[in-house]
Formats: sequence, C-alpha cells, structure tokens
Amino acid sequence: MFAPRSRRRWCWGWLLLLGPLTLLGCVHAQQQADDELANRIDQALLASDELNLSRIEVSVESGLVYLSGMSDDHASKVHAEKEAQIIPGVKTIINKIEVEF
Amino acid sequence: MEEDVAIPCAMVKQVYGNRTIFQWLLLCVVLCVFSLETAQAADLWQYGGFVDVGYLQNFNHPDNHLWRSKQTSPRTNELAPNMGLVYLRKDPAEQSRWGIEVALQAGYDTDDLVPDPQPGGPRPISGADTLRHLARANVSYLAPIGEGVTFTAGLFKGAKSYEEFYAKYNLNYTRAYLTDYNPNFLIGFGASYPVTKSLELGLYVVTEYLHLSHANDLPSYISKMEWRATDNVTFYQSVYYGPDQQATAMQYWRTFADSTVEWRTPDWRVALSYDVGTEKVADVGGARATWMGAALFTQRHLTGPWSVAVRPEFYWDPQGRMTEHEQLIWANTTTLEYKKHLGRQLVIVRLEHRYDRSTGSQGGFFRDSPSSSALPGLTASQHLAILGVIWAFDSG
Repeated sequence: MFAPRSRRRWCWGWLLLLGPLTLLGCVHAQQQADDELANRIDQALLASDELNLSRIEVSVESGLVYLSGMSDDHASKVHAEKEAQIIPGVKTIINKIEVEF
Repeated sequence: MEEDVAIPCAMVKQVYGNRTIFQWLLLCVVLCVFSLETAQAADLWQYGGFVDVGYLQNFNHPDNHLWRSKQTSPRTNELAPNMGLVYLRKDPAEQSRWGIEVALQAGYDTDDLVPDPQPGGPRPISGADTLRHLARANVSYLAPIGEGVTFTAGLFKGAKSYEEFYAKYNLNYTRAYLTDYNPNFLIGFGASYPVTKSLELGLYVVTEYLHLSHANDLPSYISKMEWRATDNVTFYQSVYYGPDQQATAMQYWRTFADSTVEWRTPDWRVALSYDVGTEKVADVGGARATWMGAALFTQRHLTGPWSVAVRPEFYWDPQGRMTEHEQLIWANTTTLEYKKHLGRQLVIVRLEHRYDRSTGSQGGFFRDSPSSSALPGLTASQHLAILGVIWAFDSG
C-alpha cells in the first residue's frame, strides 16, 4: 500500500505525535495526583481548629509539599506542618509559612 | 486638661519618633547577637526577600507615565521595579520567647509612603524619605500569660486587612484602592492575645494613621480582631481611632474601620472587604469628611500552578481626603496567575487586565496631553494590560 520510504515517514510521524502525547499524559497524571494531595492537605488544615491555618497555601509539585502563606504565630506554623505530615502520601514538606507580628 | 494629656503622649511620640527608628534597628541587631544563645531554636529564624517587577500597558498613554490616585504600582508604560524587599526575623515562641523582625524595602511602591504636606494636617517626619525603606523594625515577646500574650514594639504591620501591601501575598498583581489607603505600616507598641482557638484580639498604641507623617503629639489607637467562625469562614476587623490633624480635640479624631469576611475551600477563595473612615476637618470649619471602599476578592484554583482571580471594587472619596481628588472610582481586575515553587525559591507570574473608571468633580485618569497644554489631560476611564513577575526566596 505504502512505499517503504513513505511507510518509514509515516512511522516517524506517529512516533513524533505519540511521544509528546505520552509525555503529556504522564505529566498530567502526576499533576492530577499532586492536585489531589494538595486538596486533601488543604481540607485537613481548614478542618483544624487552629485559628489562622486558613491563610496558609498548599501546593504539591512532584510529590514535594510546599506550605506557604501566613500565620499569626510560630505554634500555628509548626501545627500546620504536623497536620500535613499525617496525610497519607505526604513524604517531604518544605515549610515556608511566614509568621506575621 | 488637654495639655496634661499631651505631655506624656508627646513623650510616647518622641520614643517612636523618626530618629529612634534607627535606634530600634540597632536594638534589633543587638538582640540578634544576644539571641544566638537560642541556637537550639534555629528553626525560629527566617530570612528571605523578593523582587517584584511589573509592566503596565496603559492604553491612555499618559505623558507622565503615572496612574492617577494610585500609590502602589504607580508607573505605567515602562518596566517598573515596584518592590524589592529583604527581611530577617525570629519568631517569638515558647522555647525562645523574644522575637525580632527587620525588613528593608525599595521600589516605586515606597514612593508614596512619604505623605505630601497638608495645611493643618500631617507633614512628613524628618528623614521620611530614607525611613520609607524600612518595612519592619520591631521586637516582640511572647509572655507566658494564659495562652500567651505577644507584646510588640517598633515598626510593624498595620491594619489586619485581607489584601497585603506587597503583591507577593495577594490574588492579583495590582492592589485595590482600599489597600493603598489603609494604614499598612504602624509605629508604636501593643499586644495580641488568642482568646480562644478561633478568636484573636490585639490592641496597639501608635503614632499616626500614616507612619511617616506627623501632625500632632497625641497617640492613636488601633484594635485588630480575627475570628474563625466556621471551618471555611473567617472574619477580620481593624478599627483605628486617633487624631491626624494639628487640631487634636476629640471631635477632630479620625475613625476608620476595615472589615473582611472570607470564605475558603481548597479551590476557592472569596472575600469581601469594606473600609469606611470619617473625621471632621478643622481647616474647613469642622466639615465632616467621609470615605469608603469595598472589594470582592475571588480566586479559583485551576490546576497545578494555575489560578484565575477576579476583583470588582469601588472607592468613594467625596471630599478627596484620601486620594486628594473628589471622586468615585469603580474598577475590575482579572488575573491569570502562574505560581511555582522551586525549592526555597518562588516564582509568580501574573497576567492581568484592569479597567478603572473615575467620576466626580475632580475625577479622572491621566492621558496623553494635547500638545498645546502643559498640564496632563484627564479622561474618565483607563484600561491596563499588566504583566507582573515576582521572584522570592525564603530560608523556610
């Protein structure tokens, strides 16, 4: 049906198309997993009875958890990290919460 | 009677006067050195900084490149280094009760922290042009009283508002008008206390509404409250009360309130802020001046580092007490944000559209002036397309 040369081109064409799509799919799957983990941590912080965990931002990048934003005292900053630590799936936390006073 | 009150209050003002800010800074450094004994509490120390650069394309093409009535991100149609800040702080905590905070800042956002002199009103304190570069210089102590009372003295953060003076912490790049005209920095002393796990109260004695202005020797007062009503709803309230004119009789004292209610879920942040201020102006026969503003902050997290935010707002200044022009401003800001942590670093890129409309006898925004006129022309509305980039570093 195809000449060998055009068949080879056709194969390369598919590889060039499928390669990035597969990569994009992996990235998307990782992103989805990160977003779900961030969501669970955020829910836990909002459900905590500590006063000012609501101004803390959570983001997860390739499984690494970042806590940022603000808290009113050092105890809340430490508490937020402890709350995040007990969520299944959390391995490493970088706590960048700033205490304002 | 008024004089009797004025003498001790004048002393308070002296303590927090312009020159003593440098003494506070020195004290902070000394405390830093002595606090090395708290090496076991190394996680209490934090240092970092950020740089905020913006390009605001103003479709009115004003010759002076200025955004009228705006204090933060005031320059348009040019690459503007709006803010650079470095800080060092030690949190007060149970294991080491003293805390300090020192921060230095520079950029266009600091220009308007020095107030313009007003007849009968405040004038800048001497050295204000240098002192505007000081963002924080305070010491604090967590006293073992009840759940812990935190005493703070020096130059500290102002009213407990939803939006911060610094773009880094906000949902949008440009700030709302009500943030610009808030007391964002205060000099004085006071204390805060967590009454319950969901309610914190603070009371402070401060020099003036604008920390680099001086109108009289009486102190002013500000109270702050944060109340977490439910898991998702938090109220913030600040009330300021004090004299900000040379006439210090109580009838001329300024009253200002900043109220916010926030509703938050992992993907949504929605907050409504309302500010209102009033005072009788001695220079115009005691006529009352009132101003108010409101903003609805909304942000939806899309995926990963992407979020979108919309903020409608208004600011009404019928006597021009805050903006120096009698006007009513409406604005809407739409922002697409990309926020990425890279270890200790953080990069934020915001792409923003903003529409502002100013009406009233002295309202308007700058536009390209007719060649025959030396004065900048005014027009009622303004469209801005904005790119803001913030790079931050925190020791964690």
